[in-house]
Amino acid sequence: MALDDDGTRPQLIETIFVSRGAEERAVRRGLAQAGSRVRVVSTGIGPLAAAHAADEALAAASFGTALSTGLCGALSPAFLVGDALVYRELLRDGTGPIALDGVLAESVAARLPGSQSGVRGIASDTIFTSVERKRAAAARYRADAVDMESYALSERLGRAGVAVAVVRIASDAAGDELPDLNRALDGSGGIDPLALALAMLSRPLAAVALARNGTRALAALERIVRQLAAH
Amino acid sequence: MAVTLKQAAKIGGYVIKQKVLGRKKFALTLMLEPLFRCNLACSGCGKIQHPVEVLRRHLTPEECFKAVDECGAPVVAIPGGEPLLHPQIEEIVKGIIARKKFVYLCTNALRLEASLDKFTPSEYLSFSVHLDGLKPAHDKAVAREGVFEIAVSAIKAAKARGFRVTTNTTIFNDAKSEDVQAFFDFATNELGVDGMMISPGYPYEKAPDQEHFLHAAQTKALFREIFAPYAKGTKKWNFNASPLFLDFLMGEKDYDCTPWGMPSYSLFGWQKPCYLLGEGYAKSYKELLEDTDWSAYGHKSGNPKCTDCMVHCGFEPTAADDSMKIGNVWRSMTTVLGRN
Repeated sequence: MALDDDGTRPQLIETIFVSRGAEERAVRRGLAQAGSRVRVVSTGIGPLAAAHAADEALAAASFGTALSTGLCGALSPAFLVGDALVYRELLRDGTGPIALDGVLAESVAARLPGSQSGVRGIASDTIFTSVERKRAAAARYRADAVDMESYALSERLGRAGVAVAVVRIASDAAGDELPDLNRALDGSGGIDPLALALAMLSRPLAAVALARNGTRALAALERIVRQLAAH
Repeated sequence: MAVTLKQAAKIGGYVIKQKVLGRKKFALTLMLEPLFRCNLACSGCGKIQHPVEVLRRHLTPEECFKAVDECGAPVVAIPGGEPLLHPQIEEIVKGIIARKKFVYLCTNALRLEASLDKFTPSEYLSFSVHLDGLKPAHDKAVAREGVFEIAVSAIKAAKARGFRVTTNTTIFNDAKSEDVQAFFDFATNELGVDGMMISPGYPYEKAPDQEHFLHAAQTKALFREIFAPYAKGTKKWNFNASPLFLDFLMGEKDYDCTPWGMPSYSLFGWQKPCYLLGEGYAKSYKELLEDTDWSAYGHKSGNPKCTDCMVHCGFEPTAADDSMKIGNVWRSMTTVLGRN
């Protein structure tokens, strides 16, 4: 199976959802390196923007499988920056878990040597920036990772009968403190560059670590997309 | 049954063979650490403090099989780190079982239930689930709420599917004997585990919590209290340990360490001199046996790092060797027959 829509081989993933910006660019680089023309849908940051993108994508074209990818925060000490995490299920505060398509997740994991499968992800409207908050969420929800878009995407797409796989790259470990990036989220799925700069300047050491880890995680994102597309 | 007849016969036969061949130093159990990465950060653990670059790496199945073949021990324990995080763990376990070795896959059970499909029940495979007591004690030991329930659920699921499940429990100096006894009751009667392994904690230099490790005299006093109803015969707990090792923990036997009895192989090679002390690595098992100054370790050596150690990996092999003496054979057979 392959990602490429060459007309002769069935596609493993028909549409990739990824946040616009650095993550989207990494995905597109990975696809280009593999010579793949799979459809990429860029979303804004956060659940509302993700749900909106899912609705638009469903209205624009018919597809049976999708991948939610990008970066995430690790909540389990098992996961290190740059690890590819293949989700098994997703949950959100106050709602039961969404079980993702097991066969699709297995097929994806099989194509990503060294990836960590069976991950329980949790949705959040904000970025977990403190170790304390990560620990609390890990304990309360038994969650391994957190991201802001996968739950909304999986919920919307799953309702429309689309099989969804989630592969996220850990960009911060459970023990990493981050600058207060939430100040930079503009509420409509975008980032305010000035607020981002101020947040980074207020925690310079954490900002340096974030930049270093982000670079590593984006390189890993590019690699896993290339690996998926190369099959 | 804590130890199956087949396991007892195979291990006994192996020990007799080593004696006949005149080998004075041989391994009973290989401690194979295929990775150091873990999904818990327990305060008493000295294994997960490695740099991130080390945590990223893991042994390949081929490297694991080479160590198993080189060592020759009839039992292979797979600790870590958390072995179920290894992406090829099923291949490793399958390959070791194919070599007719008894595998104890040591796990914190967070991923056990979801991983059961990867394995097939076998008399050669036991899941050795880390449980340091009932809920309050265990969740405190692993520094995460809710882990006890997950482990209990996973043990029940594994047992229901026909797997052998044992527990491994580390006792620290803040343990209360009645709590440990209640845990033994629970594991034996409610979980129906196939055996319980128990050991005092070793004061790893790298472990974050240095306050709660036991010293030798404390160990003996605490274990005498813990095992009192068992020694009297009023409790029928099911231990996966030599009864002579339990005697040793209670101070009724005076053993010295057999550090070569449970050698440890990891990403770095063969750890010198034992699973607990990290004093360099040998490239081969032969080099470990031949180039280590074994007289520098154990109680009699006067090595301060060994003074308070009564951990199973050093003293179970001594107890196993002692159990081959004529006067101890029947006592040892009670492990197989269901009463230590």
